Amino acid sequence: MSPIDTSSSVGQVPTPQPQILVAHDVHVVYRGSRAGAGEHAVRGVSLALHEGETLGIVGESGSGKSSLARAMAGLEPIARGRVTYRGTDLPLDTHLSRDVRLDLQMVFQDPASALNPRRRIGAALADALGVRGRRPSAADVERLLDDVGLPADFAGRYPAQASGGQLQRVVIARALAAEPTVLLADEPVSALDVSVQAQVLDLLVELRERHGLSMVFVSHDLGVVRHVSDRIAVMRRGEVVEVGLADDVVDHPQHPYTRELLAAVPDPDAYAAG
Amino acid sequence: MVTARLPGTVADAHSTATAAPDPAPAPVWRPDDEPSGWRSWAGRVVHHPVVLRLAQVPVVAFVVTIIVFLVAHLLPGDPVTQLTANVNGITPEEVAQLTSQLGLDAGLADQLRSYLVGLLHGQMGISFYSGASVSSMLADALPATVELAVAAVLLAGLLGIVTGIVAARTQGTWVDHLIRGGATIGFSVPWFVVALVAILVFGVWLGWLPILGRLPTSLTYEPTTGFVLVDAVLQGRPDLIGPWLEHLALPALTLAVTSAGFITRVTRTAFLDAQAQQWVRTARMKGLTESAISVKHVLRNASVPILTIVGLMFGGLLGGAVVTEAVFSYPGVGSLLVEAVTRRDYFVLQGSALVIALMFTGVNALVDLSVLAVDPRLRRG
Amino acid sequence: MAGPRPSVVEVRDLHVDFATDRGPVHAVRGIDLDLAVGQVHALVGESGSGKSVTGLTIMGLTRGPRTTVRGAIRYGGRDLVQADESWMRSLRGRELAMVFQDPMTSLNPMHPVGRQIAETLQVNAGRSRRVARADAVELLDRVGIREPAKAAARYPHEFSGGMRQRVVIAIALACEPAVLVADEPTTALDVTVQAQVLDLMVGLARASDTAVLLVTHDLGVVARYAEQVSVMRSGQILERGPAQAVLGDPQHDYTRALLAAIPRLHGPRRRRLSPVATPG
Repeated sequence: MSPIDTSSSVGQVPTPQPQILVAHDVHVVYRGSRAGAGEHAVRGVSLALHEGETLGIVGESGSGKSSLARAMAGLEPIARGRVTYRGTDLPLDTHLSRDVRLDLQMVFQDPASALNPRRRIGAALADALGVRGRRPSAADVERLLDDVGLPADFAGRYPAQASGGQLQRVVIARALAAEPTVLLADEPVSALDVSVQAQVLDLLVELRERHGLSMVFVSHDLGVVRHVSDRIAVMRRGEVVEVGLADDVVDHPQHPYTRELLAAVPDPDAYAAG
Repeated sequence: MVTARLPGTVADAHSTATAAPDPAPAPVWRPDDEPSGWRSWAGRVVHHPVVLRLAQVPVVAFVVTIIVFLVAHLLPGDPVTQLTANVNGITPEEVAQLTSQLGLDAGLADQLRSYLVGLLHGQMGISFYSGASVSSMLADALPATVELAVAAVLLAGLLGIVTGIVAARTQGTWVDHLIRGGATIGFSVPWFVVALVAILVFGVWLGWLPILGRLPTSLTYEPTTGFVLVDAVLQGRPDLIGPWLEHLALPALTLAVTSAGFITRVTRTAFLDAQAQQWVRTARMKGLTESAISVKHVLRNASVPILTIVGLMFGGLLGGAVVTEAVFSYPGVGSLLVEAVTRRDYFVLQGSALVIALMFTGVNALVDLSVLAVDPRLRRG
Repeated sequence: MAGPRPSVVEVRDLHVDFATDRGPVHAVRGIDLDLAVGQVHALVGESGSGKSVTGLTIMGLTRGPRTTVRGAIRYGGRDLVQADESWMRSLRGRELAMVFQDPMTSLNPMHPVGRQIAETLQVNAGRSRRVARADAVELLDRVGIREPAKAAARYPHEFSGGMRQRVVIAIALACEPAVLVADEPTTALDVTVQAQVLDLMVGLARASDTAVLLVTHDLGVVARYAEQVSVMRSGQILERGPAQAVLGDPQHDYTRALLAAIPRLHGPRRRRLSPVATPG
């Protein structure tokens, strides 16, 4: 791992690390309700996440990026192909062993629906902490809150008393409580205001380094994906059309769709250069 | 497909997919979408929601027939006992003879089979009491029940929908609260209390309305179709209409009052929901007046839940009609059914129950179809 | 760029308050805004900034028993704040039009698309049903929907989000209004579709000299499409001016923070996007 310094360590060419979470020719299919209306969301995707790296998956709606991430997290049944974690296949029916389940934690877009509105934040976090076997103390909860930049008194609050950005921090904290090795994030900042988005992204980057996490980061926002990712995979209609180092993909796109995607993103500095 | 080499080397592979053909897009309408060929047409007909929905009616009727048959025959007692109850000195041989005469000595399965076969030929059996054919009895009684049910639904619907819309338009004011309170009282009070109060007040004390039967006994009425309104026109007898309405009033109003309250609340909610939709904002942006918005954009959208509830209520109304007919001595299918149960008059019982079941499923099928007609989102795709 | 264009709408010291169960909400607290003929004025802010309320108030769509509007919105020689509802209604659709954020719900699901476009022509341009329906087909063509005649008979749920938003644009611009308020018109759309729809909307508006108030949170969109920009926070405008100037050389800390918060696609990555501040 590159040493942590004041410049971002993201995007530099990493020394080759072992693959930790790998998708081999994964297909995810949703059965439709009416005759013939099924959806082939992921069509034979092979991608590898290396230890300590952040793999960004970018695509528009219908690209299958969320389905792929859930399949890699063992949350979505796989129709064909397989996903391996540390060399072992994940069960196709999503019945993971407890240890593996805790190792692969996922964070989603809407924090409010991820938290029980009737439980205090502290209680939710204590539950998450207790999952590795030990009994969590108030100090443990406090430390966890501090880890995500929230004050200790948040433990007593209900989700309704927190803002979107704060709730997303709580959700991240809950994921961290399980001491995962891989964090999969599906549009974790898309529902947040720009300034709050920036804070949560900074937090994710910090946490990743502090805890040595490997991360899969799914988003439709190319700028955000590029900021956090070492490598980027571009998805369209269930397939990966391009994958490579983040800066390579963004500065030297090969596939026409990638180019189209890049051209469509409006640049706030377009006037600045003038 | 994807040619990305999984990176593990420093010189990372920056790879792209070969130009793979576009996979089939999501089902969004495209101009060249219309399928062709007779096979697809046949497929569309069979899977057509209208056909599917209508096909449910005979299936339901069949199932109901069997259940009613079993329940009727499993009730303690039997027609023969009932028939011979007042005859003194009847011998067991005569009882047995009567039993086999009525066809009741055969096994249950055989009786069911012959009943079903008879149904297929349009024969519903005869009454053990009057000897009249069940189908002719039903032909007399059914129009009366239909008139009652239709009148009740129309009254309840009109009352409920109008008050519901008023409550929605005056949301939050005392008018709204008054209407909602009245609606709650309406469907909370047991209907027979309403019936008895109505009879007492309008029939006995004020003497405004008759409380028995369908037409005054003094009036001669030879049914052509069985429906008084139609016959009055066909036979040129406008004098029938007045008394007919008078006799229909109390039973129909009783039923209507207790159901209207529910329709009021459903209408109000549906209206408010539809009004809150974003497309109403678009309509307002176009500069439409509020009443134009209400009619063109709110009502049609609100009608779906209202229609559905009215359809469901129809079943309740039919059930209420059965007992209403008993209370008001109104000669409909309900009265027939109640009598038949008491007397174990099997064929009449089964026939009445079947007819009521058909009416109920028929009405619900109609409601479902009209919802399909109103809301294009529910159609194919 | 041409010299200063005449103003179509002048907003002066606008205040909008809502009376809620939890007390008064001061959504807009004294703002000034000018919309110039044929130009795009972007109103930028995050949630709660009051930018949407501003757009809705110009349209007169915030009027209600719980709303208090003070200040002036000058248009066509009259003050829209003081104008009565029937006058506003006559302006709406005809001279003032709006495009809303969510294409999935902006159209009535039970009416065919062509009819919804024709409706505005019937109400505002007094056209007969037949003429309006024909014009609607033409408008569908102009907003880039293929086989417009067949499309006019289809229902909204049969179209994708981008196509629906094109229909909404057709409705809004059908009568060639003087003012178009676009409230986050592409936020709910994919990024490739966003570009197409915005290109279309701004292109059509400019062609008919329509002044556009583009309400958005996306500074990239501002850079690409707007001539003027006002940055809004908590009901107030903190900075305004030509987009080039405000984005290129922001004066206010908030504007600078907003620009910094956006991760860039090219160039060196910054360690932090947000300023080091108290959390939460």
